[in-house]
Amino acid sequence: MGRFKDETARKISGAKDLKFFLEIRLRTPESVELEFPLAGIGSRAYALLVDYTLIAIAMIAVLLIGLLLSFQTLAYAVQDRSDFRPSSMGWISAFVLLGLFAIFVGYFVFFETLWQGQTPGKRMAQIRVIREDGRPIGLPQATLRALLRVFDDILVGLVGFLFIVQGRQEKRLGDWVAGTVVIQELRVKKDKDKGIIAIRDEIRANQVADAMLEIPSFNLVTPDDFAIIREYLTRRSRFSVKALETVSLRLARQLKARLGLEALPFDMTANLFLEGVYLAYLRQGTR
Amino acid sequence: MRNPSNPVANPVTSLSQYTRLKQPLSIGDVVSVALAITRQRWPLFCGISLQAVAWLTIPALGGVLATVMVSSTRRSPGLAVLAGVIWLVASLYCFGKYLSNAGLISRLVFNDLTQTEETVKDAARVTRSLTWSYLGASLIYLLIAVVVSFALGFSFTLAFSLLLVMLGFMVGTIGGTGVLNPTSPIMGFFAVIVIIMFLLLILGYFTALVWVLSRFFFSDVPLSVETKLGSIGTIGRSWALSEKSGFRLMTISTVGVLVTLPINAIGQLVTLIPFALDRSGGASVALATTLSSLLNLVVTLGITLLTMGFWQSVKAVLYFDLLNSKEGLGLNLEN
Repeated sequence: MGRFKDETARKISGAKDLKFFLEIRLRTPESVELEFPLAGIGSRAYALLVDYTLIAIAMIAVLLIGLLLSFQTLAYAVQDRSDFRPSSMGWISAFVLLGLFAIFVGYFVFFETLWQGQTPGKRMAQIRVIREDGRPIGLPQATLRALLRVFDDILVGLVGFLFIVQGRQEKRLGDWVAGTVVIQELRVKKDKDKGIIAIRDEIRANQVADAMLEIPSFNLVTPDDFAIIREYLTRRSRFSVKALETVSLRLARQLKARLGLEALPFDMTANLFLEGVYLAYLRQGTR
Repeated sequence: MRNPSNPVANPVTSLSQYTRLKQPLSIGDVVSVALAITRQRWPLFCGISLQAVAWLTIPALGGVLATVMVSSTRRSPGLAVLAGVIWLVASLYCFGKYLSNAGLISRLVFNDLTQTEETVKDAARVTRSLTWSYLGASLIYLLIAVVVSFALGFSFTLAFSLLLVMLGFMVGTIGGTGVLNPTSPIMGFFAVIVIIMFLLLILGYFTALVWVLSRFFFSDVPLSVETKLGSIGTIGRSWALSEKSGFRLMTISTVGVLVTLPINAIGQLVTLIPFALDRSGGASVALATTLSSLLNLVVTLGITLLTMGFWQSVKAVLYFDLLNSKEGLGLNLEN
């Protein structure tokens, strides 16, 4: 018992061994090696959720149109028109069934071919189907994947789930047959979230930056430190007031310790200090 | 020669794993990371889940025992009431123990995410001391769920009735007495509109309900991780942390349900076995039903055992991600 506990303890402290994300390395026909993060079961389930919801909505729409047409046809028949043909009801049913089939099979083939391996759901989940050599998929791959979907969906998706979770390449049956993998889209950072650093008081922040560059120990600020400060400045707009205060103070203290400062050049808020350091680091780079 | 499609371990992967983890995670990644942790910690989490489920079986067995006792001591109703009260208190305690074991998993996952070193024994000591707080928090959650679902149900029923009346007036005004003819074409339109309206309202009701409940979905995790929160504190903390993230949390929990759907479906199939094996041609339906409901209990406990680690991980990853994006958890200059 004691030994077991010790072993468990060691396991927990060895947290560095955990793997959270899987990657795949592909070789293109030109023998270029590319590395992609795999989509992951969560993103694939998310995409499926969106796609199946859209498919369900489309199917309900077709069913309702069929229902409406049947009502009208029945009303016509009851009015005892001589040109009414009973077979028209059969035609309506046939078209409805055809419509449902076309939606279920055609949806994935249509979008994955047109959008080069993406569907509306995959766009939302930011994932994409590509060929094993890194090239975009075409009609044959999309069709094979769509046809094999029936088998992956056996037992509400148990087959596909096990294939994705057990394999190192996260391939469901359709992926094995079509020779495809599902990867994460390289994230294009959105302007509203990334790249825009809102400096609240430009003039004063620049004054702080001037003062910072005077400090000899300023070159102790590492690129990693800079990255963290930039991360803070881009993300702080989403922080709560309390978190803003805690994090800015924490970072300012850590920075002060890094620079070996007893006191700041002049009285300022933690946020202003961080903005100043950020600007100073940028200017230092351009010098 | 290396197989080109073979994923090769990337030497920098182990470093970039945590760097990537500290970026705001996508909806899918929250679930993927949770499943990855659950799989890699499976023996440990399974053991804890087993203890949790064992605590749940006690009130179930006790319930059967209490029923037998009550039926055999019909002459003294006082004893029956006493047995009932004892059973209720004991059940609440057992449920609290179940919750504290669940909370332990979340705490361990959070430690994994933040690379905090803590032995399972120490973590268990913390969550064990919180047993009553977990229970309190889950009772508050239950209360919120009941109140919200009643309030929403009432307002949506009212809205549907009002819309129906309005629509009736409209159709009556347009179609006149001809509307009374059931085959009138306007009746077809009317039926379709009512169906669409009904579907939209049902959708709206469930969306609103799940939106509210999702915001408290991870409410046991702050309690497991932070100090001195208490039952009300942890509920308030989840409400504050999940502000403006309602739909995101809703989607994450739905994706989680989708991922565990195969296990649940198989479980449901298992409970149907007695009916499938029944060769008596319907004569022993009662026996099959009894067996099926017993199996149902076993299956429910089995599914809880299998999925608890995953769900506790999802909640912990979610909480970790919220702390990261809203409170700058990972923003530190120290090496």
